[in-house]
Amino acid sequence: MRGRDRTVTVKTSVTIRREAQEVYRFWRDFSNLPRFMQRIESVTVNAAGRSHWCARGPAGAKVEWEADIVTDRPGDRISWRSREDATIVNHGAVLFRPASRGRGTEVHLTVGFEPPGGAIAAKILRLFDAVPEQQLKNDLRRLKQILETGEITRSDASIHRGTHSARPPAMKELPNVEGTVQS
Amino acid sequence: MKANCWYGKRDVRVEDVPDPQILNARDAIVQVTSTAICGSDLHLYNAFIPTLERGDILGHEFMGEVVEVGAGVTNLKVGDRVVVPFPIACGACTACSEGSWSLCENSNPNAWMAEKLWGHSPAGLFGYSHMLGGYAGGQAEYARVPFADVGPLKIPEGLTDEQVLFLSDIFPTGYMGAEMCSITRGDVIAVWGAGPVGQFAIASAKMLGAERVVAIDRFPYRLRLAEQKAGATDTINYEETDVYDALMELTGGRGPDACIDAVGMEAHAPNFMYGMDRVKQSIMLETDRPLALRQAIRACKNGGTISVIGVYGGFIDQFPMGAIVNRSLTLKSGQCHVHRYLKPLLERIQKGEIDPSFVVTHTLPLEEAARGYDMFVNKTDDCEKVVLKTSSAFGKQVKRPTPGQA
Ligand SMILES: NC(=O)c1ccc[n+]([C@@H]2O[C@H](COP(=O)([O-])OP(=O)(O)OC[C@H]3O[C@@H](n4cnc5c(N)ncnc54)[C@H](O)[C@@H]3O)[C@@H](O)[C@H]2O)c1
Ligand SMILES: [Zn+2]
Ligand SMILES: [Zn+2]
Repeated sequence: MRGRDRTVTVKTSVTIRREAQEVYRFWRDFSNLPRFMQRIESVTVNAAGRSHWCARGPAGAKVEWEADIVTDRPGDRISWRSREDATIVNHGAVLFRPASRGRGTEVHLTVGFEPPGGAIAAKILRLFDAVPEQQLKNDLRRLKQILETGEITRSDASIHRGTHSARPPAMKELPNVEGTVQS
Repeated sequence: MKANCWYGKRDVRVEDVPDPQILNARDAIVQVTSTAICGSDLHLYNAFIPTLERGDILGHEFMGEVVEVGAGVTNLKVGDRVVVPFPIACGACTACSEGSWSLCENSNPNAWMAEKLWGHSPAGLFGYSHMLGGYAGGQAEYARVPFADVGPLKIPEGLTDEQVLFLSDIFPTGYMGAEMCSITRGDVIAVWGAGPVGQFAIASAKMLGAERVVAIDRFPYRLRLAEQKAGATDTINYEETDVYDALMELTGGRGPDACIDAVGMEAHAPNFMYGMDRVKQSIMLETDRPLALRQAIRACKNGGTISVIGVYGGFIDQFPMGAIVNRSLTLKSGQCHVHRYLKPLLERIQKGEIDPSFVVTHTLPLEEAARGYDMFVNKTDDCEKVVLKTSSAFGKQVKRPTPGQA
């Protein structure tokens, strides 16, 4: 979605069979984000609560920024916003809502950013695959796998970057990072 | 290890591939003793299911001995003899907790692909395309089994592979097909397709109390098996008899109480519609040929149930929705929730209520998988079900290369 103010907003959601508090706690520790968010390489948080984000796109483009927490309501929502001087002004919010019939917690994620225009904009857009909604949805699916099953589910083909036949990897192809590697 | 790999339409080859390794803590590695070729494999073999890659290992019906377990598997140990259900299920998501194992929300790492085609993704399956997970299949000497603390069923002593192998798929599938008919005593059930799945649907319908079970196919040897072994009370050869007329005759004009489609997307028919559907399928106007399904809907009694266990992949044309609405028909379907049925059906086998090995007509070494596929797809040599044996089944211990040398 591209608003009049040039902000690109992407929304997606997933339902996780865990208590809202548990999902909140996992997310609130930002160092967990790279475990399931494919394009986020690292998030480090300093003593003052400011986070430093490092993201890498499919073509290898690397972008870094600093962000502050805007809202922090345990078990309910977390939102963050990049500092004004960031190369990409961006923000995110995640809401935790109880799902009906005790089916756990709905996780609603909204991520928005303002492409600054020019060469940097192109670089930023390369952070996302063709469909950013898809990418974020896949991220949330991996979060669900971790919280419900303890790990990211791997198949013979999904551990490889790009297409690969469904047959066991040779020893040298064995992955050493958590999660699936998609191009 | 040796594994049966897909290379394109009607082209499978047994090749040397790396041995599977533990990739998740809840994995186990099973040394396969017996593995079967399924009608579902034929949809892959005939290239009707999208997102296969050259070199994919096929097979989802397999059993064997546990040779390695991941750190997260405490209920299995090396040496256990197990049958593995074909859907991969985590046991922790809402679908699994509700018993809808083939709809597991966590076992398909490529869920987004299935979501594009079907709106939502079902569970990942062994050896069944990338859109359903990209998992190597079980037509191999070894198989990696994810969520091994949830799926595999330990087999007690005294039962042969052939007696329990089909718990992995076709026995539970046929059983679920019959169960979805909500059979009450005295019911007449018609089953389209006398393949292995149809045979177990027939046998299960009898076990669940149907009075008459009608088998419909065109191969006399399959109809004979249905009558002599599965317990069909009547058979209809659709090449010789009009199916609708024959069913009305058998039911005093009411139609069967429930109809089971155990044929699926590659149905055949000796008439004009078949030609039309084949043409449409070849130019992708429809992806599946629903000939048996249309017939089942037409014949079913008012207010009856259509139970679809034959597999469809995409879209069908000329779907008789009018009959469903105006005649209050119920359509039920699904990939089998195998885990649900493992224990109860194993008990029936142990009690001697059924011996599933009756469907096996051919036992071949894994190396001859291609010949097995060819016989099974062309229904030659009165082929009903092919079981492939690895060399370990003949007591020959195949040495696993140590990791690093694969
Ligand atoms: N739902 C599940 O979980 C599940 C599991 C396993 C198999 N299946 C599906 O079940 C189906 C049957 O599998 P199978 O192993 O028995 O395969 P199969 O090919 O041996 O049997 C199919 C039978 O249908 C007959 N047939 C074809 N057209 C017909 C028609 N118009 N009317 C009546 N019979 C017709 C064929 O002659 C054949 O005997 C396949 O679609 C397979 O994918 C589903
Ligand atoms: Zn099968
Ligand atoms: Zn599950």
